[in-house]
Amino acid sequence: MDKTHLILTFAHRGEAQSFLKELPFKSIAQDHYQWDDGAIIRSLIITGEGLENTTLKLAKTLGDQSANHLINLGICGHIPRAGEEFSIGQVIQVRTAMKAESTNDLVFKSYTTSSDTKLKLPQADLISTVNRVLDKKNHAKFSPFASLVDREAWAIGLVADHYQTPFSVIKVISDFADGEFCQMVKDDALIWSDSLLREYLKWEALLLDQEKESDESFTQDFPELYLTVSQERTLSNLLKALRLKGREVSSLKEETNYNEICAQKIHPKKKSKIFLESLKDILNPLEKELRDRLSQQTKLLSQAGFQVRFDQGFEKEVLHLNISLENEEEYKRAIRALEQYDFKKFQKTIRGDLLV
Amino acid sequence: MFSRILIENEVKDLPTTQKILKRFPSLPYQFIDRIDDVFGRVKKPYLQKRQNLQLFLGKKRGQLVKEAPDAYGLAGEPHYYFIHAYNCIYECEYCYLQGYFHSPDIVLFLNHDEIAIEIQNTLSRHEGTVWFHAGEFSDSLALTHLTGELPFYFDLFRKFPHAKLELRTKSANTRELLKQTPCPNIVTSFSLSPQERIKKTDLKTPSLKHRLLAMRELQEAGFPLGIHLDPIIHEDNFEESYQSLFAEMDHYLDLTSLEYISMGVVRFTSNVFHQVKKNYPDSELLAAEFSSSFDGKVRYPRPFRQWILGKIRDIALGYDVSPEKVYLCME
Ligand code: SF4
Repeated sequence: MDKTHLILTFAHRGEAQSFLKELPFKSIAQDHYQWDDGAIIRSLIITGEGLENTTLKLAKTLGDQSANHLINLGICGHIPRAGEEFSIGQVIQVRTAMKAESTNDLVFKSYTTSSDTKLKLPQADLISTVNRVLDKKNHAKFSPFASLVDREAWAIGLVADHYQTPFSVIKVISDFADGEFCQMVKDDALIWSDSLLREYLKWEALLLDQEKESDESFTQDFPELYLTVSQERTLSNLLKALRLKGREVSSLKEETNYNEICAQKIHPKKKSKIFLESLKDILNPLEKELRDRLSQQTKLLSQAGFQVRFDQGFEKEVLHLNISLENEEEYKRAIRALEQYDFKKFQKTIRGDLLV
Repeated sequence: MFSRILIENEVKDLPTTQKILKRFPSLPYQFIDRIDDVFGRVKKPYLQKRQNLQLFLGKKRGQLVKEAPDAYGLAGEPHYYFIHAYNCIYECEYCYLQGYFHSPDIVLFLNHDEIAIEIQNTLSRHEGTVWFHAGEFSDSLALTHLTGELPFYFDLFRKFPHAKLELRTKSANTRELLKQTPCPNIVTSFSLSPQERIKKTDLKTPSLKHRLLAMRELQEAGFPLGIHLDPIIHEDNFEESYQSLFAEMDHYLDLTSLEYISMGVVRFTSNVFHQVKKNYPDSELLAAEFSSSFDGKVRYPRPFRQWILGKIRDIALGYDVSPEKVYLCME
């Protein structure tokens, strides 16, 4: 996936009308539009109303082509509650999407969006319902949890979670979830779609800025290295951890003797391995110290042919020794090494003595 | 601090509820039947505590006093904790609460009279000293100016000198405590770390100096104090950091008259560690030399733990703290 791919979902065409009018989207299938500007592919999908429709349409789209981010845009109902009272036409960024099978049956699993405070939109939680909330009687059941209701957002979260793709939800308030709904939607649909487009463009600019930052390639600092995919991942993790400890790439190169490693006439994969080991030692100085100490203490045993292992995490004072003996001389050498081994010193080391 | 208050119908007329409502006159509030119907019913991300922290007021139901895990406090004596609150206003990056409840919202239980009955029932099953810890799921002092339960527990524990109460805190909010008459069996214990560590990891908690000043005031007023050096987090210069921490502690306090100094090295359940990664992706903790330990916890390997604790214990003994007063927590 070279280009950034964003998927925009709407329940109804009316909600998407400004996007289709103002941006160069082209129809590529029924209810599926695309705009590829060379760097970013934007897919716009009209899912139809309801959790089921949304899940099916979106799962199919994501199954065909992965995406960097999903965003659901559209209208929602509002149940005013203490401290969260919005007005019709206000645009809100959804924080968490929950689901209710019925008014008494809130589904525990909720999905958290990648809401961004930089967007400067009010934030609120939302419940996606199986049936439309048309009756004020239901408000008391929902209001301790959330002040927005819709019929799609939770499904976006579900699919996004399945495909491990971040998702966002931006909604415009169309009604107060009391049945006074359909006529107003028709009248104001264009204005609301315009509001959504305006906020979407701000959202996209913020998102792409962040992606640019996190995309800065770490491997470019080490062009001389040949890295396998797994080594690349290890390097990325090590560098991230070392950065958290405030270490700079330039000083790391010096500390690991990077240039000397690169100049060695050995297999390129081996060079990378040596370099990664040195980074690991810098990241974990205590472990290196302990390992060096123990390997010094068990040198004679190793020389006598023993494979030496320690308990994982050194929780137990146990030394695991493994050896295959083929003749008497090997046997005698092994016995001599065992006799000379200082087990007390090993115990002291494991108990934290002598360290550093 | 809070975005909304949700109040159980059963406690809406209690004086504490009214006091809290008066304290936040402009805060929206709503009545609910049971906290359990709402709190944690749907998973709420931990960091929403930064923008959208709700306060619940209600009654704790079920077991009100529980046996504390092994090595919780001074060895050889039974330890219990009681639950009068869930969650905390601070934000320590290692806090185990981030993996515990499904919500960061603060819950205050107001049925202290029922908790007291259960404390007395527990006491009746023991003969010698029994410890009770407040604040297993919260900070014991941070909100006491709101909750006002301290006089109640002081009265209670004064009646049972063989029962010890530990109030564990990272706050410097000692105003309500100072209004009480010190009681020899009520120990206020402060968790301390070097200031640099507090700045990096114990987000939103009072500075070391503020805590030490609060402790000095308490000590001068005759309140028994304890110190928790927990969690200790290793860094290259940790010995120096703890040397200066002890120097500062010594400057403000009489260390020899402390009830105890407990020490513990940072540790996480794997679930909490996962939450730390999620909530604090830039935390230094994620670059630490942890491994999975014998009990499934993520912690430093044993030789490092022992070494770190040994070094800090030596520093403590250098300040004439008696060895019997230094104990290792959760080791
Ligand atoms: S003070 Fe304690 S309870 Fe509060 S966030 Fe820090 S570790 Fe958690």
